[in-house]
Amino acid sequence: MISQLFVLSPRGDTIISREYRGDAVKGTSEIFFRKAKFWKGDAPPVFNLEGISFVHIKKGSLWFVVTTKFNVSPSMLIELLERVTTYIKDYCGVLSEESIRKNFTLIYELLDEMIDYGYPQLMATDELKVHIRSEPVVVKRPPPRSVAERIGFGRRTARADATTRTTLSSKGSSGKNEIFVDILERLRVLFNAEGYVVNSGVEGCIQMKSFLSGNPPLELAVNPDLVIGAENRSSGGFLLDDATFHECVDLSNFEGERVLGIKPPDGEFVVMNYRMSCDFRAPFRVLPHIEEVSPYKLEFTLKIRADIPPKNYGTHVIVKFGVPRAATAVVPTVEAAAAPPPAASGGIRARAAAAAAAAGAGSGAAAERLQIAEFDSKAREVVWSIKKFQGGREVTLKTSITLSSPSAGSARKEVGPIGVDFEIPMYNVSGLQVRYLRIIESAKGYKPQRWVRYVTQASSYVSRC
Amino acid sequence: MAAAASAASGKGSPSGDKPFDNRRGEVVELLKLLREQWSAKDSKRKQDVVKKVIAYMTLGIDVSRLYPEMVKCCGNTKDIVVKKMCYMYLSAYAEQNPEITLLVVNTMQKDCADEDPMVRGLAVRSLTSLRLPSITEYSLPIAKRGLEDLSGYVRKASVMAVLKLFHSSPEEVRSDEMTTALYNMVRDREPGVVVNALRVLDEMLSDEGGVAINQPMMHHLLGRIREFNDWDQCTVLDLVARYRVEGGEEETYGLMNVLDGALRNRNSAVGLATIKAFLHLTATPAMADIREQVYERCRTPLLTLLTSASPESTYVLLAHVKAIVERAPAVFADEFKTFFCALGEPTHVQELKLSLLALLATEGTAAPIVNELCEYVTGVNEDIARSALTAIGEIAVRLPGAATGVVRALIAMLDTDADWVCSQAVQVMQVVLRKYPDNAADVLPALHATLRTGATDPEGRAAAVWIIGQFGSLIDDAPYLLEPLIDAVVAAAGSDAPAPHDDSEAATALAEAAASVDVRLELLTAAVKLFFARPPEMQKMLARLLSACLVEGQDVGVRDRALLYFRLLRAGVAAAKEVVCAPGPVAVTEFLADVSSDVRDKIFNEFNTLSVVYVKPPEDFVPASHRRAKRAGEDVAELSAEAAAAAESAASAEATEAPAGWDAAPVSGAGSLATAPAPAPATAAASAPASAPAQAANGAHDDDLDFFGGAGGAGAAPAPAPALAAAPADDFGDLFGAGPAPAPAPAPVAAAPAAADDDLDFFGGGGGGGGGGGGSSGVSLDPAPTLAPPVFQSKWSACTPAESFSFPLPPHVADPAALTATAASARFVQLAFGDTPTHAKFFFFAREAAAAPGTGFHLVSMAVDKSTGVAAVDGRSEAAPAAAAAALASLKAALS
Repeated sequence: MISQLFVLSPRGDTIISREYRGDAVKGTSEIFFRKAKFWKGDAPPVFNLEGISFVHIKKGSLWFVVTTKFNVSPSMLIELLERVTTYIKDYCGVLSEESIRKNFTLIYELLDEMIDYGYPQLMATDELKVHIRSEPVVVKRPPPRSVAERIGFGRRTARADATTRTTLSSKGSSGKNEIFVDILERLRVLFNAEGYVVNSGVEGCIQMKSFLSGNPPLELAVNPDLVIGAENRSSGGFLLDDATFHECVDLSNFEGERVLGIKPPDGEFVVMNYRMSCDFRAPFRVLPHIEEVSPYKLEFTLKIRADIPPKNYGTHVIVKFGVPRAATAVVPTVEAAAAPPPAASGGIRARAAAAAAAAGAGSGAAAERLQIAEFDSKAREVVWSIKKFQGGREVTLKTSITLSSPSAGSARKEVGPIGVDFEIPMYNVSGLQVRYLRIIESAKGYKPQRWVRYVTQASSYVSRC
Repeated sequence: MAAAASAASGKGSPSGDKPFDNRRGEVVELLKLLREQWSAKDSKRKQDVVKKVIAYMTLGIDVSRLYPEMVKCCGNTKDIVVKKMCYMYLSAYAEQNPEITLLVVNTMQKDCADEDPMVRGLAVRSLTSLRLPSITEYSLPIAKRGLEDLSGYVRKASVMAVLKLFHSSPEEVRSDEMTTALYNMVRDREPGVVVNALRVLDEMLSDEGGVAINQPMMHHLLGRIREFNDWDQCTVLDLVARYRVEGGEEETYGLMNVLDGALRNRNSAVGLATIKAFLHLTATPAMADIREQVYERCRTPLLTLLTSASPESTYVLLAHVKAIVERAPAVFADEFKTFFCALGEPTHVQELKLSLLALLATEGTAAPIVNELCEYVTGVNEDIARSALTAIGEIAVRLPGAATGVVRALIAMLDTDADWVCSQAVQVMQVVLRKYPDNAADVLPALHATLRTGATDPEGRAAAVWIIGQFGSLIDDAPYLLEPLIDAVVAAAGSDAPAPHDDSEAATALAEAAASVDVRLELLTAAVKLFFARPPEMQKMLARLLSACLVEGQDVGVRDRALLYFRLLRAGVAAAKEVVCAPGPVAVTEFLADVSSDVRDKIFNEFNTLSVVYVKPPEDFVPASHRRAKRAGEDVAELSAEAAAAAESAASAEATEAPAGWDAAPVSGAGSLATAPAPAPATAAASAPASAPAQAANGAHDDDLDFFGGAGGAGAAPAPAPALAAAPADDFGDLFGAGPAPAPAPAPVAAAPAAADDDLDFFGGGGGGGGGGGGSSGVSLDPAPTLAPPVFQSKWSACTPAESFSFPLPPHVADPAALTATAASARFVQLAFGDTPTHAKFFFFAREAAAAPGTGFHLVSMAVDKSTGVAAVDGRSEAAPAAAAAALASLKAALS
C-alpha cells in the first residue's frame, strides 16, 4: 500500500508531503525527481527504483507522486492520484502551485481523510466535506495563456473548466444555485497524404459540475434514438460503440426513454463516457502538397478548410509540422493579399506574420483572423496558429524549405506529419445531444441556473504528407 | 514528511549548519510565538503559528525542537484544525521524542472519549500513528474499544489502527481473539469498515496467505458489492481473484454474473480488477472455452477505458492489453488502429503501442501496420524510430507473408539521411534474412551505398558485413563491397605504412568503422566465408586482412579469431570450410524472446499489479517482507488439466482455515474441507477430520502452508521426504510458477540407503507406519526421489499414459496416512493429497534408480472412493513401458 504521497513543483520543491506508513527512506522525493526529470524520453508513470515503486501523474507542470513497496495495482494508484487532484481543484478552485501552497492545511486535511495507513478511505465529496474544516483560500485563475505557452502543456486540464468556484463555498447560502453541463468531445483523426481519413474516432463525455443546494436529483435526457454497442443496433438510430456511467447515475429509465437519473455529488464529475468509431464529418480538411522546385529546394503548400457550419468557428487552432533534417532555411508564408512577410533566413528563426485580409466570413475585425506562422529551428517544426477559424473558410500556408544537400527526393519524405490542435465551441461531431436537464422536486422559488455547453477538441488530429 | 524532515536534520548537523542559519532563526522565532500562544485562547493567530510550523515541516526544515511546545499546544486547543495539524506534527516526530509523547497520549486518550465522533476518529487514528511500541499498552485497548464504537467512522479508523499497532508490536496485537473480532467486522453494516477489516486481516495474516475467504463470506461481500465505492470494490475484487470456487461451475457463473456490472466501471482500477477476477475464475482447464469468452468480453470495456484515460492510465492499461494479447492475439487483432500512435503521446506510451502492433499483426493486417510503422521511422524521435523498425522486423519474422514487403520497406529506409534509421534498418534486415534467406538477392545491391557513404554506426555496419558474408555468393561484386572496409582495417593496423590521406567523408566513416571491434570481428568471418565462395578474388584480400588482424596491439578477440581462421585455413581449405560454413540452423524461429514463457505465466498471474507493467515477477522487485504468501490455486494462468487437479487436491489438503465466525454458515462444503496440514508422506495429522474448529485452525498458522515445500512443519509433520524438506522455506510461494529451482538437492541414488539416516530408512521400507514393509525388493526404484510440484506438472502432461487400473483397498490402508506410508514403502512418494467428502485423491511419484538424474519418473494419480474403498489408479511414466508396469505392479502389491 501507499507509503507516501507528495506533490512536487516543476523545480522539484516539495510542496506537499504526507507519509502514511513510516516505511519510507530518506529523501524519496529527491530520488524521484532526479530520475523522472532526466529520464531519456518521457518518464513512465510507473517505475521502480531501489525497491520502491514510484507512481506519478503530471497535472500542469506539477508532479503528484505516491510510493509503495508492495506489488499493488498501478491503476488504482493512478486513479487515486487523479481523484486527489480533482478534489484539490474542487476544494481550492484551481489546481496550481499557488493554490496548493496557499491551501496546504486544507489539502493535508483532505489527504488525512482520503487515505489512512496507505489505504483509500473516504472517497466521496459529500462524506469528505463534513471533515474539512479549513477555509479555502481562493486563488485567481491565471490569465488565459498565450499561444506559445499553450503549446507546451496543459492541453487537457486548462480549457473546458466550468468555473473556479470551490465546492466548499456552496456550504453557505452565499453560492448561486447553478449547474454546469459540458458535452466534451475529443477527436482522433488520421488523414493520409491524399486527404482521406485512414483512422478516426470520437471519445466523448458528459461532464457536470453542480452547485445546487441540497443536491436535488436530476434527469438528463439524451437523443431518443441513441444505441450503445453495435450488437444492439436493430434499425438505424444513433450509434455509440460503448458508454460507461458514473456510479451516481440511475439507468432504469435509460432503456425506454433515454433518460439518465442523476444524484449529483458535489463538485465535478463525469456523468458518462462514450466512444464512437463510425464515420463522422471531420471538422477540418487538411490538404498538403509538396513540390520539388530544385534538388535544393522544396515548396510545401498546406491548405486547411473548415468543414463546419459558418456560424461555428474553431479557436486556438495550431498547426504544426516537422521539416527535414537537412533544411537550412525554412520560410513559412501565410497566403495573404496584404503586406509581404519580412522574410528572415539563415535557419535561426524565420518569422512570417500576416494579417490575412482575405475575404472570409465577412464580419469581424481583421485582428480576429490574425494568423502567425513561424519556424522553430530547435524543435525543427513550423508552427502556424490561427486565432479564429470561421466555418466554411479556407486558409493556406506556403513554406519554402532550403536544403543543405541536393536531396529533395528523400527529404520530402521527412516533411510532416501535420498535427492540428483546435477547439470548437458549441459544436460536437457525434450528434449526441442533451434534450433537457430537469431538476426534480424543485420547490417554489428554486430557480437554478443551468448551463449546457458543447465543445469539440482535437485529441490527435494528424495528416500525413 | 518525517523523511524530508529528518533529511533536513541530517544536513543540519555540524557540517551543514550554514545554509540553515536564517531558518534556524525562524524556528527560534516560531518557538517564541508558540510560547506566547499556547496558553492563549484559540485564535486565528494561534492557527497561523501552527500552520507555519507545518509549512516548515513540508519544506523539509527541521522543526523537531518545537516538540514540547506543540505537545502543550495540542493539549489545550478546541480548534479542530489546530488539533489536526498538531497531531500530524506529533506523529512525524514522535519517534525522536518517546518520553514527551506520553503527555500527548493522555490528551489523545481523552479525545478518544469525546462525544463528537469526528474527534474520536481523529484521535484513534493519530494515537496509533505515533509508531511507538512503548505506548501500545495504552493504545491497544483504545483501538479495541473503537472497534465497537457506534459511529462507523470511528470503527473504520479503529480497524486501521489495529493494523498500525500490529506493525509496531506484532506479538501483542495478533491474537486469535483479534482475528476473530476482525472476521466478525466483515459483517459490519458500514461498507468502509468491512473493507478495512479485510485489508487489515490480509496484512496481518500475510505470512499464511492473507485473509481466508470461504463461500459464505464471498457471497456476503458480493451481495453488497454495490454499496462499496470504487476503491473498496478493488479490494473485494482482489479477493475474488484469490477465491477458490467450491460450488462448481454453477457458482463460477453466478459470481461472474454479479461482477459483470463492475466491468463497465469508468475507473480503470475496478475494470482491471474485475478482469483479473474473471481470469482467475476461468483458470481451470474445464473452463478453457469460457476463458476465451472472457478475453472477448474484456475487449470493449478495455477499449473504452483506453479512450477516456489519461496518458498515465493509458500506459498501465496498454501494459495489461499487451499481457492479454500475448496470450490471445486474436482478441484485439481487428482493433489494431486503436494502437496507432497519436499526436503528442508520451514516448513510453508510443513504445508500448509499437510492441503491441507487432504482436497484433496478422497476414491480413500486416501491410497497413507496416505502413503505419514506417511513418514513425521518419519521425523526429530516434528511439521511436528504432523501436518502429524493430517492430517491423518482428512482424516479418512472425508472418512469412509479410517478409517481402518488409524487406522492400527496409531497403527504402537505407537512403534516409538519419544514421540511426539506416543502422537499425540494416540490423533488422540481418534478422529478417536469417529467417528468409531467399530475399537476400534484393538486399545486397542496396548495401553497397550503405557501406560506402558510412551513414551508419558500427552496429549497422557489422550487420551489413554479416549479410554480405552470408549471402555474398549471390551477387557478382560481393568481394568488392568488402574491399574498402578491408583496406581501412589494413590501413589502421599498418602503423609503418601511413594511411592514404583521404579526407573525404566516406574515408573517415570507413576509418571509424574499422576502429570498431564488432565490425572487425564480423569482417573476418565475412571475408573467410566469401573466400570459400570466390577464392580467386578474395585470396589476397583475406591474406591482407588476416595479417592486419594478427599484428601486435590488435584487440585480443579480433586476434584470436584471426588466428583461429589462419590455423584452420592452414590445416586445409576444405576442412576449414566445413567448420566455418557448418550447416547450422541459420533461420531463427524466435525473435527477441526476452521473457521466457514460464516467467510470462508468472507475470500473468499477477495481472493488475506492478509486475505486468515492469514485466518482472514480483520477487524481482518486491522485498519479501512486502509479499503475501500465496494460497494454492489462486493463479490465473491456465493450468493443464492434471496439474489443475493436483492444485485442487493440494489446495484442499491445505487446512482451509475457516475464518472465525464464518464456518457455521448454512452452505455446505464451506468449512468442511479442512484437512489438517499434509506435507509429504506419513503425516499422522493428515486425517484430522473436518471438525477442526475455527480457533484451532487459527492456531495452526505456522504449518498449514507447507504442503508442498514441506519445510516448516516440523511440529506437526514427522519426517517429510528428505529432499522436499530441503526445499528452501520460501518456496511455498511458487507452487505453480517455475520458481527459483525448488529443491535442487541432489537425490541420493543407489548408494544412499547404506548411509541411511532415519528419513531414508523410512523409505527404504525399514520402519513405516503402514506395515507394508519391504515391498521394494526386486524393483529398481530410487529410494528417495525428489520432484518439485511444477516439474511434476510439466512431466505429467508430457508423459504418455502407462497404465490405469482400479482395485479395492484393504481396510488397513483406508486411512490416508497409512496409505501414504504404505506407498512410501514401495518407494512411491506422495506429492499431494486432497480430500473431499466422497473422494480422497493422491499424487505419487517414483523414480528408476538407474535413470539419469531428473529422468525416469513414474507418476501416479490415485482417487479413492470413500464409500466403496476402490482406488482408481492412473499411471504415467517416463521410463520404459516394462519398467513402468513393474513399478505400478509393486505399488499395487504393496497397497493390496
